[in-house]
Amino acid sequence: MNLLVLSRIRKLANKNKKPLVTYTNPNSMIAEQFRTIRTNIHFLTEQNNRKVFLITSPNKQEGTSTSIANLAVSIAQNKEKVLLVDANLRSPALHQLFKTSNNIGLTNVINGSTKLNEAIDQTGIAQLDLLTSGTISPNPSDTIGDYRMENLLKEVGEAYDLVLIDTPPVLKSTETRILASLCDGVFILLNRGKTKVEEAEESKKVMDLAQANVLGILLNNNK
Amino acid sequence: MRKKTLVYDDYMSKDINIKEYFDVLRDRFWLIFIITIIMGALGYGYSQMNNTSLYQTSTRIILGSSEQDMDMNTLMVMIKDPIIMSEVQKTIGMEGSPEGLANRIEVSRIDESQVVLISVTDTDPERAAQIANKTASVYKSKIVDLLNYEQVQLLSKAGINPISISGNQNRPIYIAILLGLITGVGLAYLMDSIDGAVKSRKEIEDILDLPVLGEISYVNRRNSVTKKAKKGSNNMEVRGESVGIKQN
Repeated sequence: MNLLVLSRIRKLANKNKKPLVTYTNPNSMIAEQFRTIRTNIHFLTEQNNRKVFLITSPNKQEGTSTSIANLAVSIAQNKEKVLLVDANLRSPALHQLFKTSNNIGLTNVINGSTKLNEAIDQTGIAQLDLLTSGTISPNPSDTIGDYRMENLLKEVGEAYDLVLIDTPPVLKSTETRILASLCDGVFILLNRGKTKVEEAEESKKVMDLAQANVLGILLNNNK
Repeated sequence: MRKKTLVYDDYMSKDINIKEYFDVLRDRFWLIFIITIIMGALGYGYSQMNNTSLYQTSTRIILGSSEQDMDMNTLMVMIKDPIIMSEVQKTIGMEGSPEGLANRIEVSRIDESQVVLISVTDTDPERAAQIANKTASVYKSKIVDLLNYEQVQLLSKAGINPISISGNQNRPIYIAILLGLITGVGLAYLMDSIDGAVKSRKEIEDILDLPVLGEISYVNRRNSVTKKAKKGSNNMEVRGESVGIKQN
């Protein structure tokens, strides 16, 4: 009886907090959708040894962080070693999704105050590791543009099977363009019914200008 | 595993075409709802404004007997005569012409009998009864002078009938609601076609020339509930039932 009530409460809490559905309900329809994406990404990566991927969206509030977190969980459940990096220094969200602290993270590694392996958190979900954004930086584009960022990406690319980077909206920030050029592939997340077609086109143009390798689109449903 | 995923996606894209039409309606549900409500309210207001409810009541009189041979039709026509009508108006204190009042009165004979029914229709139930009763009494006294006819008996007085005879005039409201619904749906599709947001998977694939690797549904109770658990409970049910049927 108590268990029933508890599970109901947990379900409600999950519903309200945009949960990691792939983790909490691995057999649900949404988890299945993420597995489809995982499979498709797998096809893209197996031929040409791509490892570091970036996911961005044209605008804010389109669901990038939730989607990338779920995708990372889904890939990690497939027995791959995955690192999730929160490069959204403007409004980091991944540490909230995984309920970890954001005291040490990406910015601390880049400014040299922390070593990489100290900054990485283990999420406890399969082999999924998380690098949170770290101490809030006054100038995010400079931080991301630092040469250490490139080294860091190389380093994690070797250590992990797959690296996923969450970034700020591409039309709202410059650092996403810098990062996009450093990554092996870029996915653009569009929100059906919310993202304008022109914004999607603009995002692709920006990515092409940055010589990023845009591999595909993820379609997030608004409803 | 591979093939399954691809087949699944192919089916999805076919389904989505039909689903998109419903999605448009669902997205703009409030727009359609509000327009329908507003149109319904306007229709209600219109019907209230244009249809003053009418009340009808009637009194009965008996005309004639075997003694006097008077034409029934003439007697009936006399009821609505301006002489009587103006007298009725005077006693009640109404405005308007005697002909106007006559139009509100209907005189009819009940089943070829001597009984004559005087029906009055008016916007005020009390006044309708007043007119009916006054007409009958004025007629009774006046007809003696006019036609030297004395065989008028008042049979039953008109009572106040508080129920409107115009019925419930809901038709304008129904029409307005239907119009509102049509307008709302039309507007929803119009807005959908001009808002410029990403809608279909195929559209965005064509425009950006990039593949859509997958779609993610909005998290709700239905699609985040575990599939396996649902299936399991269904199987249990089916099994239990089939066993029962076989035994019977």
